[in-house]
Amino acid sequence: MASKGNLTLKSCNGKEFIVEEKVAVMSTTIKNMVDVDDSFAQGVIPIIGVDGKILAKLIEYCKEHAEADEDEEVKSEEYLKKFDEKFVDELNLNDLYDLLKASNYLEITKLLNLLCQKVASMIKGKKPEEIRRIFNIKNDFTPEEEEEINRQNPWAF
Amino acid sequence: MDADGGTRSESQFQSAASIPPADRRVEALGDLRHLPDETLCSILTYLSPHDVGRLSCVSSVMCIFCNEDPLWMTLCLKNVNRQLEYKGSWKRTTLHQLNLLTEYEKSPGKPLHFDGFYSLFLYPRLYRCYTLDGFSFDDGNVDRKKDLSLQEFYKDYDKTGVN
Repeated sequence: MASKGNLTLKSCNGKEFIVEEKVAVMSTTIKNMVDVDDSFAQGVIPIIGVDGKILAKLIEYCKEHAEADEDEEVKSEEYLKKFDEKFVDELNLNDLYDLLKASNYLEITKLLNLLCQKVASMIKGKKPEEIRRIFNIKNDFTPEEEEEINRQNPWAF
Repeated sequence: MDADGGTRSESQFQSAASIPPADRRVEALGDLRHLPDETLCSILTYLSPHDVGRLSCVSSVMCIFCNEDPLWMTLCLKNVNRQLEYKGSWKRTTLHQLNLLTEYEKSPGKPLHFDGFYSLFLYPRLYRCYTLDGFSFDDGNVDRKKDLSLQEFYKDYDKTGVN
């Protein structure tokens, strides 16, 4: 049971995490739950569809950002920027997609934006063939459609 | 009748082969199919117009996402560097802004249509883009008044103020 000011989050595979309330409410979804129903603050909050590994990552991110919001001297803007860069660089692709889904569901806006930028950076400056390879996308155009689409977009190359 | 039935089923089989898949999403989005549509739309707003143009050549569903006018409105408003001149769609407006409209229109193509893709997120946005013309467009049917006082506004226009 979490002590006062702490919340207990439970992943879909049963892992429990005790986190400070200020860290947990970086998620707008959790904030709304706690605001509406006090019993969530006392009990265990189930985080549906998010496993322990991803939830630990989310908490790591939220902890740094919550602490930075509280004390700018210890965790400066520059420190956070470096932390964010390292955080996304160390993700493998599956974790990146899982975190995107989870931060969308939990409405952790800052993290969602950071991860969206990461995916965008994987698309930037690339040719269609390279993009297909990176994301395992199949070229599903018929030959006629492909001819048409290439005719319409030479300005982009 | 048997033979007749046989040919029918054969022709049915042939047409089935040309029917697009029930859901294009899996193949046309690859790993990105796991993301909600709204997240995919946010990702695209971080791209340049050129990136979006190239991405639209990747697959059918990417082509749909990359030609969505709300996306182009965001891209356009991000890089406004002079007074906007609306060109009938936000994609055309953006390309005009980048001096690319002439090149874009050099090869006017027919609009591509892909069956087998549905999105509850994109549809309302599309609906709002193309069905509100009659309501939002001011073609001179709105009164022009100079120096309207608050009292006059209440009296002549603000019907909610009337009991």
